Parts: sequence; structure tokens; C-alpha cells
Amino acid sequence: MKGLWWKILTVLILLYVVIFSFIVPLRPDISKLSNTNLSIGYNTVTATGYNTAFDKYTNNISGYISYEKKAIACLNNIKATNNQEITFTVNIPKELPAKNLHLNLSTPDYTIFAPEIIKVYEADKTESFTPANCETVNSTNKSLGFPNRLLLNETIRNLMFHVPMWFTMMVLLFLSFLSSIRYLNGFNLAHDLKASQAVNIGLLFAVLGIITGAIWAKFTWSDHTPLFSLTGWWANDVKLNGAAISTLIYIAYRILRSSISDEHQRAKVSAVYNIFAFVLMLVFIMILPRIYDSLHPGNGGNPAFGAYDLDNTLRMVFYPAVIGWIGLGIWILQIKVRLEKLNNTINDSY
Amino acid sequence: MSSIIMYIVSTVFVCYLTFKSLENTVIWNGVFWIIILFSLTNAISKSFANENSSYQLFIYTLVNPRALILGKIIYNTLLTFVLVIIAYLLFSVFIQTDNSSTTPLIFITGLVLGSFAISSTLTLVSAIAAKTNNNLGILAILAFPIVLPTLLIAIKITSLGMQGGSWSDISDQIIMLSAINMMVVTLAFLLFPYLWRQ
Repeated sequence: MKGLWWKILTVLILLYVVIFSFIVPLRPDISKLSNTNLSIGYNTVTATGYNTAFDKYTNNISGYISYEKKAIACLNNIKATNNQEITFTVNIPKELPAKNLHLNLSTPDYTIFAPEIIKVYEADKTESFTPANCETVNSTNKSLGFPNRLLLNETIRNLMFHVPMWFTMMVLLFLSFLSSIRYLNGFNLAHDLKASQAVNIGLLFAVLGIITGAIWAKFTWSDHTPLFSLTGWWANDVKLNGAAISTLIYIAYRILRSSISDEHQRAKVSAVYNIFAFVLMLVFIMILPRIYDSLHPGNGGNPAFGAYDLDNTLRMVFYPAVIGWIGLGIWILQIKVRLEKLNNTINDSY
Repeated sequence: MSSIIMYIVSTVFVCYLTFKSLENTVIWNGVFWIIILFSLTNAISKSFANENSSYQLFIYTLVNPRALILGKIIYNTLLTFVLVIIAYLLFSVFIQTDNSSTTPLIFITGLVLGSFAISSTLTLVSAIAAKTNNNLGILAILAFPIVLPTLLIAIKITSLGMQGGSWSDISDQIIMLSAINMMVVTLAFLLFPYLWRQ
């Protein structure tokens, strides 16, 4: 029974993660405006939302256009045409502090903040503008929801599966690296067994990471290529290529092991290769994305997770997901190591 | 040695018959580095494989393994420089490209650093591969994924050098490639004694 608690915890955390990452709805957000480039004076705009349920709040919606938390113009005559669309009119003043403005909406249950969705190219840029004084509906912002980001939309749930796969792979490969060092410090074959099994399980998680990543790339980066076609599953991106290279390195490690028959020799040679490969792989994963631009969040001008995306609700599921998947990886590793030990004892006894 | 030079000549000639000329400097550099990588893999694969076990035992009693791996790296690097110069001369004679705005010093720095990185990595990996039966095949499988990112940086430096880039454009890459070089040598220095001891 000793050591059972963390396995139970892992199962519970993963259950929590799987359930919550699928049932938490996306937060209401504005996905489209009928007219993003507004002119000075009166404009009538139709806004299309997602998960908004506008018709529930027919007379209870208010909103304003803002710049750096200051209201610039109020939305008037807000009418909900159906649960996803509202129309409103807005009077844009001639003098504005910037040409990219934010849209704010509030209903009794939620507020929407759509950054830099409105553009006014005709405006005169001035520092001195008169802030508008708008009536706003008091809202209690009690709904639980994942952030609704452009492009990502519902696929943001994949964050709980794709990213922890790579974390788990790195943890397992690091364990393998440590075991290889310990093997070279005493030539105990148990450490070699652990190193090789950690690489096997790490490769399993790498494959899972590539599959989840391919699905994510297909739906966000591929510009709506047909679902049943071979294009769009892979993007030419440094991080993707880095992942492919590290997978190749560890497949090479397995081939190296299978080509040496003497077990002490195999243990020693593969430990040397493992240490060499792990250090170089770390360097490439850390350094290469800094030279070449990447589509991935955090590189080449893309916002990183954390700037907008990793809000509190997401954190509540994402951090347990990381812990849960790493726990699962270590659990599988333990079972595999025990299994191989038993196999070795059976083979020795004949 | 002559077989490797023959290898380079025939690859370059095949490229010449296929392309005639490559206007795009990035592709020119890419093909050039691929030829270098393959011919070096062939050349360096022999550095541990051609020694039989009694000869190895003899060397083992004479020298420190760290001195041996450093010696091998230095020898292989010198061999690499010779091969790279031959490959460059042949490749630029046969395959024309737009090299009017080349900054020679940047191009040469990229060549030196890149070929040193490839040769030192291949030296350690060939010591690993020599422990197996299928030396050349295993060497390619083990070394290519490790060498590939280094190769990408080297291609970037030399092609920028050919397009007339300035030092400030590529100082990052040069620092990085030097750091990788130092790390590879350090790792080889630390790890080789374990391979050597039987």
C-alpha cells in the first residue's frame, strides 16, 4: 500500500482534468464586427458573438469603446437580434488618442473585453481627448469559462493535453539522462534498465504530443484546408522541427541499443550517447527558436500564453493537467521497469 | 583519403549535371553543406573502425583516453578543413551562383565553425558507432539528428555571408555555434573515457 497515494491522486487529477477541460464553456466574446473600420460620426454596427445569449438580456446590455481603460464613446440603441447578434450605433468623435480601440460590453452576468477590434483610420491623433461618461450595467462576472481567443476558439481545450505531453516527455527524458549518469558512476545495470525504459515511455509521450499538436495545427494554422486531406497537419516551424529532431534522436538511441548484444557494453555505449544527445537536444530546443521565427506562442511576435490567454480558469485546469500527466508518465515508467526486472529474473533462472 | 576526394568529385559532378547553376544562395549553401556532411560522415566513420582490438589494447596502455579523443578531434578537424576547401573549390567552379556581394570573412567563419562542429560531433559518435557491427549505417542514424541543428545555423551564417550580411546580423548565430562547439568538445572530453575502458 506504500506509495499508493500518489497514484490515486494522479487518477483523480486526470479525471478532474478530462471532465473540466471538456465541460467548462468558453467565455462569451465578440468574434466578428460587421464593420471594423468605423468612420467619424454615427455608425451602425452588427456584432456577432460566441456563447453570448444576448436575447436573455434584451434591455440589459450596455457598452462603450475604450482606450487604455478610458471610455471614448458610448454604444446606443443596443438591440439583440438573436442570441448571437446585437446591433448598436456609436458616435465616434473626431479627435482620438489612438486608431486601434477596444470594445467593452456588459450584461448582468458577464463583461466582454475585445482588445483592438475597432479601427478608426480617419481619426486625428491627439493626446487631449474628452472621456465619455457612459452608463454601464452592473455585472457580477460569476460565470466560469475559458478565454475565447481569436483563431484558438474551442481548440483551447487542447492546451490541457498537448502541452503536458511535452512536459512529461522532457521529465522522462531528464530521468533517463540522470539514470545514465548514475549508471556511469558505478555500472549498476538497474540504472541502465531505468534509462532505457524512460526513453521508451518518453517516446510514447512524444508521439502523443505530435498527434495532439498536429490536430491543433490543422484547426488553427492551416487556414481551413479540407479535413480529409494530408495538408495542414504539419507547419514549417522551429519548435515542430525541434520536436521531430528530438524524437529522431531517441529513436536512434533505441536502434543503437538493439545493435549491441553484450549487455554491459550496450549499457555503457548507450549511456554515453544518451548524455551527449540530451545535452545537445536541450541546447537546440532552448536556442534554435530564438534564431528562427516561430508560429508558436511566445515566439516571433506571437503573444505568449500568460499575456492574454492563461487566465485563472485556465490555470485551474492547466496546472493540475501538467501534474497529472507527469504522474501518469512516471507511473507507467515504474510498471515497465518492474516488468522488465521480472523478465530478466525469469530469463536468468533458465 | 583519395576515396573521399573521389566521393566529393562525383557528388559535385552529379549536382552539376542536375542543376548546372543555382541562383538562390540559400539553396546553393544547403546543397554544399549536405555534400560536406555526407563526405565527412564517410571520412570520419573510419577514424575508430579501422583499428583492431589488439591495436586498441596497445594504445590503451600508452595514452590517456582524453588525450586520445582530443587528438582524434584535432586530426579529424584538419582532415575536414582540407576536404571542405576541396569541396568549396570544386562546387564553386562547377555550380555558378550569385556571389558578387559575398563578405568573405563571414563566409569563412561560418565554414570553419560549422565544419569544426560537424567533425567534433562525428568523432565522438563514430567512437560510439565503432562498438556496433554496422558502423557506417549506425553512424548516420546516430549523428544526423544531432548534427542537423548545427548544420542549420552554419547554412544560415554562410548564406548570409554570401548575401553580403554584416557582422551584427549574425553575431548571435556565431556565438551560438561557438558555444555548441565548446560544449561538444567538453562532452567528448568527459564521456570518451567511459567508451574507451572495456
